[in-house]
Amino acid sequence: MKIKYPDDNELLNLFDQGTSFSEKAFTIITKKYGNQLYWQIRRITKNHEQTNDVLQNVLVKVWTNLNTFNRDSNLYTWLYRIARNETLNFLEKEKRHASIDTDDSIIEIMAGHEVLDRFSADKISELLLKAIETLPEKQAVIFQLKYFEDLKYSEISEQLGTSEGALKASYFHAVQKIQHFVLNELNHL
Amino acid sequence: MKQEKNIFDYIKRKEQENLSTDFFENLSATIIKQHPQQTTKIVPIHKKKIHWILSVASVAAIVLFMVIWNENKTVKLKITEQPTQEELLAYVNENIDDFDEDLFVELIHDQKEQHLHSKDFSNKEGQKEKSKKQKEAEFKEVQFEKLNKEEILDYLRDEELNIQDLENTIDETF
Repeated sequence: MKIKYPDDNELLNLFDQGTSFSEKAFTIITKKYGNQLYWQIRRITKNHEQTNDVLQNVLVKVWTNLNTFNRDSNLYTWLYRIARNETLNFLEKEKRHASIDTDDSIIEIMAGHEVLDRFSADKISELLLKAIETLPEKQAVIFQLKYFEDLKYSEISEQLGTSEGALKASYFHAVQKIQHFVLNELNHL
Repeated sequence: MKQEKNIFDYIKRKEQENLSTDFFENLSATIIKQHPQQTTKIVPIHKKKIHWILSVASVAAIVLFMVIWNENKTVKLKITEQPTQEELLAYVNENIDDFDEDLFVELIHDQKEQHLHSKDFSNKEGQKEKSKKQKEAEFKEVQFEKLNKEEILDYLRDEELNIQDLENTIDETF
């Protein structure tokens, strides 16, 4: 059963009150968006240990900078951006070190597509994540929430403050762009 | 044209195992403990409505003050009384060296004209208006009453002025 968390504005107002209220608000935000941030990072790092390290870095930044958060933008989009930047920074540093055990591919490939059949799931998932990186930030967020988190449009609408119609259109467009990117890359391999 | 198959019809995402809320609660507690200094919310000054209101009120007050101050500053000059003749002469005597000769002559003329008006021609009750010619004649009478023709001509010769023209003028005058 899904837990009903307070609205983002309510949480930010609670945070503004300082001291124990800030701690409470921060804890709720962490629980509310923790899994989404965790898996956003883990799809790229492909292991729990590195994901945990990156997630801690992300949450430290959120805790120390939430007081400067500009409420003109959406809270989750802000969190997504921090997580993305921290993940990329982390990967840059980790390039120098030997890679540790990684997860299995985030996707499975079903037979029948003449192009996809020629490549591994790891390769296709790698290209899939690269394609997501080419999308505008908000569109990337929408795609991740819909495709990987499997949220309903109503839930995404509540989270991002965007209408369901706009979300559907954006998701459809994202799918087209990703398909074009992946097939283009695969055809040139 | 061969339509490409949608790759998402052939890609299936794997189920992800979400972590428990306890995990995140412990994680947030660790972070709060490690970073105890909670910075106070920094609200940019331009975001506080009260600052906008106070700023506008301050500007309005300054503008109002300047308008009122300027109005009070305008001093209506008193129409001072005209100096008396004695006062004027005293001033001239004190500052005679600073005076331009032409101005000095003009001043004396004005004084004498006033004197003439007050003594001989003034009639406080029903004074008649004099014609321009009459006034000019009176002026000349006053200016030249103590000089004779020869004295004037001597002066002119000394100054090497055009005598002929002036002689004619003087003849006409006298």
